[in-house]
Amino acid sequence: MQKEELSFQKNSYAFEFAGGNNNIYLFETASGIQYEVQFKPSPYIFDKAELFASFIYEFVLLVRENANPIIESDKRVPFTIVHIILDFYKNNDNNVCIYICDSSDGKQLARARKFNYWFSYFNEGGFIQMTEVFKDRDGTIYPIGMILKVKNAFRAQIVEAFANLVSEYDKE
Amino acid sequence: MAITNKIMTPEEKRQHLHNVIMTSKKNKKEAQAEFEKKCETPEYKKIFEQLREANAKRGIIISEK
Repeated sequence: MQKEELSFQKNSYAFEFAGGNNNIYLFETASGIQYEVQFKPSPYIFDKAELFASFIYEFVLLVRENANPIIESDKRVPFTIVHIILDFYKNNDNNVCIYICDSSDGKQLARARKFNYWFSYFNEGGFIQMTEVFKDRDGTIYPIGMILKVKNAFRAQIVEAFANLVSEYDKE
Repeated sequence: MAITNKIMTPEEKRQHLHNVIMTSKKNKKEAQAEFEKKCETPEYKKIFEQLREANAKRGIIISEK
């Protein structure tokens, strides 16, 4: 077992892979807050015809809303989420996670900053992150990110597809 | 949403991204409702009980709600 993996085991909560079409993982914090992490197959994000389309997943983080009205800062939560992401990538080096920060409460930029910080803090090499912000016609800003392994066999094509999609849309 | 984005016009790309985000929001809302329901099922209750036991073995005690 690698040193990095031991560190995650020590600092994260126990989690369970519940499986299903959306590759569900579950965990619970010390204050009883229950989380579900999904890796939802999303081949439509780029182009379904691309060879890498079946490796594109949307990362979805759900918190049980009625579990606890106040969600306190808990340093084990980011360790657990990153540990789960690493576990998911273990299944296939070609997996790609896309995340679209939740905008329902207007805190999507704060979420994006936190997620980007986690990536910088935990990534000891081996992963690539790409981020962009999409501004919709109504003015709503949606941070979008993508994480893939350096050794992804389709790395060049996926990076190009992401850049192509988010950087050349009509921004008027 | 199946258009090849290599040949999309800028406006088609904007629409595609908009559709991707709206699909994501809709899916997330449905998944949240589903998660709330599943938490009440014996299957999920059992999994969370096992996770509490696993956490306790690591010295992490779940506080009473």
